[in-house]
Amino acid sequence: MADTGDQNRAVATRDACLPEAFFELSFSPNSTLVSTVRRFVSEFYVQILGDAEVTSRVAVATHELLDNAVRYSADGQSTVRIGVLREGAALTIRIDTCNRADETNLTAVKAWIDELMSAPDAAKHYQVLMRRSAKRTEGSGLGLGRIRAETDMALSYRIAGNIVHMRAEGRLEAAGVPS
Amino acid sequence: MTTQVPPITTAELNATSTFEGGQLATRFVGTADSRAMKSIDSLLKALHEEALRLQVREVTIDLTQLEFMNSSCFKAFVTWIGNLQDLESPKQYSIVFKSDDNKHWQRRSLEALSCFAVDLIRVET
Repeated sequence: MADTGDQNRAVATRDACLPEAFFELSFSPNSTLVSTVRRFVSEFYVQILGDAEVTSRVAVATHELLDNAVRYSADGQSTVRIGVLREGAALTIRIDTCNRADETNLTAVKAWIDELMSAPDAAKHYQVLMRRSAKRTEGSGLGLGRIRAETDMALSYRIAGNIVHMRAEGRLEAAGVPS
Repeated sequence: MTTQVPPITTAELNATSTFEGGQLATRFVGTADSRAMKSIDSLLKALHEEALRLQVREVTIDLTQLEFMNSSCFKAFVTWIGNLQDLESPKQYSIVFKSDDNKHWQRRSLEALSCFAVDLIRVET
């Protein structure tokens, strides 16, 4: 993963599976299926985590990462893996997507995430992205910025050949008790 | 009273606009994902034109029954607000978002949108 700060480095050293509750889907996502997965994530994790607010963040990040996969996958195939590790009230959330992408999109992913994660203030940078977005005619340019600003998750990527792995990861406090 | 703003009527999303008692309002019900992006963009452009034609001081957007909005649809709102900011001050109108506290994404997204246009946006729960 690219260097995206201390929090991300610390979390990245943990067990790759995040064993408390994880699932993985490999499929050809489209807009309909992205919403289906988001609903499943919402219903599944609100029971596992017992916290609707944290679950909402996971759902938003999952939806935005999968939307990216739909838009930029070179072969239409994508994998999403979501894992949660609980340590007291703290939850480590990790959402990974993986898909093939063409060279232009690989370069774009690098540029977006590098810019995003080098901005010291996520909320202020999101405002910059919104001002840019208001004048854009293609794409929103907001999805990844939304993940960082609205879900408090860090973003990173790894590129191997023409395969891009994207990760949203954060350590969030859960208020509720799982059912 | 009906407006000149075309409704959205799909399996995933419905949006209807009304003009009653001098209040122009649009209510969204369902899910606003990538499938709805173009419809929402068209609706908001028409709503903006209608607000200017009717010379209203305020437009209400009711999101209380909107389950989710992705960033592509959110961008349509950003563009609308950007166009509103570009108008001369006397022509500008305010936007009131009605939200549901139980839909947690709404608080975070509307907070960001409010910061984008502090003087023009109010959020009600």
